[in-house]
Amino acid sequence: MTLNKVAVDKTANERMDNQAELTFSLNERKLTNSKSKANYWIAFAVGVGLLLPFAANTYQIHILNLVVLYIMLAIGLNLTMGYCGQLNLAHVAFYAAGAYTSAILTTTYQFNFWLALPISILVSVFLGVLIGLPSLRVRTHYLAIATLGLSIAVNETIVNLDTITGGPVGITGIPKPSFFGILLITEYSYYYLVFAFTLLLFLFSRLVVKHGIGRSFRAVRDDHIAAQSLGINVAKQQILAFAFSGLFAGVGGVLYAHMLSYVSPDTFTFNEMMFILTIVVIGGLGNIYGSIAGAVILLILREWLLQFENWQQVLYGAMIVALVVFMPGGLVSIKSLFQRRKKAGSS
Amino acid sequence: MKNKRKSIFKGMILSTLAVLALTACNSQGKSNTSKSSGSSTKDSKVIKIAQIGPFSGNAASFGNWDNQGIMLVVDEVNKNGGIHGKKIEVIKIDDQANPTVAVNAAQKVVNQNIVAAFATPLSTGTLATLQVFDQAKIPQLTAGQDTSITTKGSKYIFRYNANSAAYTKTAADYIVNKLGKKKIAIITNSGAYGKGERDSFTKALKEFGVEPIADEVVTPDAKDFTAQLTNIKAKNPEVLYMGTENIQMGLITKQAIALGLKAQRAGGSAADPIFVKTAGVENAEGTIFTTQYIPDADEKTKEFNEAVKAKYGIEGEFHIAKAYDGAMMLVEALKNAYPNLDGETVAKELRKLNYSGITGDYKFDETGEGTDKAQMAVIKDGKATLLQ
Amino acid sequence: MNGTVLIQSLIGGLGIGSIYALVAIGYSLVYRTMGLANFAHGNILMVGAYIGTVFYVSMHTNFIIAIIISSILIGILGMVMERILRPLGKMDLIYMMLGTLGIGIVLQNLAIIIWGTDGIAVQYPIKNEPWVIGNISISPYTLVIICASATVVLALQFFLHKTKLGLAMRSSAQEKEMSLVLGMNVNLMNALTLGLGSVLAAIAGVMVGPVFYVSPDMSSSVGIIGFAAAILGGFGSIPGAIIGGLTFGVLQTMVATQVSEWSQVIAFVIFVFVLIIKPSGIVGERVVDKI
Repeated sequence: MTLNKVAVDKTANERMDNQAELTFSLNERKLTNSKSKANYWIAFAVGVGLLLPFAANTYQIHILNLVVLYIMLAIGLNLTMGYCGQLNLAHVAFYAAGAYTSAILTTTYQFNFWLALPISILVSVFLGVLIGLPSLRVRTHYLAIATLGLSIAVNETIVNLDTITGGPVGITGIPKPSFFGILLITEYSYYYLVFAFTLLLFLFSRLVVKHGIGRSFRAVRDDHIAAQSLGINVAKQQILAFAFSGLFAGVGGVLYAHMLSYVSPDTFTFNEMMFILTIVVIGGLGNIYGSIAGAVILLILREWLLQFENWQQVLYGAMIVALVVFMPGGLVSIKSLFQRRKKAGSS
Repeated sequence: MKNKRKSIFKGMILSTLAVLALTACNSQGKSNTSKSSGSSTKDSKVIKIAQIGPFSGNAASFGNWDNQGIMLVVDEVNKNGGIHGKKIEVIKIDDQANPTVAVNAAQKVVNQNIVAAFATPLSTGTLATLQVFDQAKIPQLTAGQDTSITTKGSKYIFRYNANSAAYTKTAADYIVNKLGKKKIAIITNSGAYGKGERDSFTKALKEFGVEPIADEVVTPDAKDFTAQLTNIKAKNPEVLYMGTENIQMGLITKQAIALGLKAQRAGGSAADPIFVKTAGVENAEGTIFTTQYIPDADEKTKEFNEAVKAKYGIEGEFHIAKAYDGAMMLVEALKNAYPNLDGETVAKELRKLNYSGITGDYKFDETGEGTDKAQMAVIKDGKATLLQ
Repeated sequence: MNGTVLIQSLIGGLGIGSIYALVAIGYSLVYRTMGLANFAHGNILMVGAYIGTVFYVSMHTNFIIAIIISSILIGILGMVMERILRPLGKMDLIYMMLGTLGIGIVLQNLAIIIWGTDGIAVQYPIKNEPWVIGNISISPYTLVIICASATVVLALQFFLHKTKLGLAMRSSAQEKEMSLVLGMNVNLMNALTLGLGSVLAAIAGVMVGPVFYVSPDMSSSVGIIGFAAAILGGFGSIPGAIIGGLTFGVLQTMVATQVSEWSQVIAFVIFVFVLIIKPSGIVGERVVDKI
């Protein structure tokens, strides 16, 4: 009897194990499926990105350069704001830090681009950590205005230190970088440099979002007290978020400076901050792919709106209000919006 | 793993096809346009020029003034049959006073077969676009005042007004040598214009052996100057030199008088009708300043003033006058260059010109400076009147 | 810094500071009631300044009547805006910020389209001969601004604490659910608060016209510093807004007498340090996070 019972138990156990294995393998297949789907789309996008210059004239390639650059800037801000929930209005100051450091090093001190690049990134990451420090004490509105104030202070410091930074008229004649002996003089060749960096940082951000740091970031964003009690070092995560902002904006700044061969304080204004923030929110907070879509759409939109002169800004403002009110999830929420509607229609 | 590689591969192939299709479409379009544009230089009926500047936002006045001056000339030329029968078309693009957008605009017009560009009325926009036009070999005309614009090695830059140095030298000479005043206080802003004024005015004073007794710098959006003017007042200067834009200059004048600061007030080209209105006519009275344009000074300016009034319903104004002279010179150069309307020839013809306009006599030198002459004027009964 | 400069810049600082205070109160009032940080507030001030100035300069109405007309119109504008802002009040701060900034952009550029960028010069409504006491000269209009702002603040306190409507507005701000239960129209109260905050901005805007010159770009610096002042004092608190506004005005002017081009930089750095020491502002209560 007992033996029999044991046998039955054993088979039941086995069955259960089998079932578990089955569901597990099913899940895994689903996972790999969605993963390979994502890989497929990324590969597709990279392919398009690599080949697009062949279809573009000199104006289009310039806009393309900017689009790819702004993707990088937007993803950086999204990591800090969308994932970690830090109201960082100083992103544009880190952008300026990267651009100016590289501009000064390569013009006044004749540094090589590849030497100036890491130094500039260090400077902007350092500035990111520094400006991120108040986030340990102040939150929400308080943090927003603190970072905005410091960002204005950075811009005015650049204007005032005119012997180093060229003051309000900025720095001209920033040299183009060369890559293994190839001087990236045209925007076509330069495009691949920007593209490579953006791709690298995109993959990096994907890694960050998917793994431990990303989870901690979201925990801090959703409830920092609960996160603390779960043993997450909230202070560390917040500073890390600002450091990421500094990293992405710093690389972006360097690439911007050498793309235009010119930097001036007029670029790094509150309006620019607004523009990058709009890309991130319109694309979708807390979604990297949304930032990519947002950058593409908003840069093209900006060029297209120019023809309306004074009305362009009115349209731009009205569009922001409409999107925020009616589609707060950003572009990436369109899909779920449709799904919801479908569900509502069927029920 | 195999799956992953396959999907990446598939993605790549698909994207290649997509771009190939796009290229096909685009090149088809391109060949169409290039056919028509290729002939535009020879047979087409229009000559395209571009104007880039701020037409929206707080700096929109500068873009609009430039445009009014240019269109005054262009419409007149087109009405009289154009240049050897070809009409001039102006492509006008907004740059939001943002250097990044200015470069976008420059890249855009370079692709549209233009022969020359007005870009831009602001020094920062001009500096940002220098390289684009230099590489494309398209003459770039600017009204930016910063001295550095013509020192960057561009062979296609032409400045159709005097730079900061020319202005401040005239002013310093008049104040120190003619009026014999040595106790001079300076107040400037940290913007592009203010910085140019400060640097070159102090330099000019030094040449005459004078050191300013006070040197205050304010931010470009500052509206309250109590603190700075209090400092200046404590030094008791004979002359107060204001190197800021018109509105700030008016506010400084007003607040200086409210604080009881009794120094001779002086300034740069910013002392325009807006300055007088801001300061109030009685406060602006007696302010000496440097300019290139004095309304109703002679027949030519009177005529210009009438034309502006007839076309736009406003008084003739310094910025419009500058742009008018710039456009007149370009038209002259285009006429001389005809039928070789390429950038190089037009630039060469611009350099050959000897032009006498309403804002002075122009002859472009190697660097692209058009003139270095400015005049001293004084506000009398709310209007600019020539001194000397 | 000698005594003369000190006193002179103190007076100037209080003058500009009382304008910041009025703007800061507007921010705080709206935040307290609707939980909304209205970043279009600076632009509302600019539009108010334009309306008042158009009446005063172009139609030669009395200066005080110009202020009243502008206040009424801007009050209505504020109440209309409540309808647009209502959905934003419940959203995350980032959306709120972007949404109100968007409204600000629209207002700003409509103003540019209507009135142009050249701006309007405004003459002092009183004879502004400086009073000279020793080495110090005082511009009477500065004193007018300080006194007028103080009167407005006193009137506001009277309204909020002694009138029925004011009490209703305060109660709907503090106990939203309870007010609803008691049959109060909370949306109407919100609209009234937004209108009231906008009226304060309009008064500040018209008053500052003769000192500042009325132009579309007057909104940016006053808007940001006014917000910073509200935060510095403690967001949501009216006494805090007054203290924050006056502190910012005096701080900026004092620093400007020493190193004028660095005044903004130093003012903001000090501001951030104060926030680090007192994270909820000078008089703000310690914000208790959700537990």
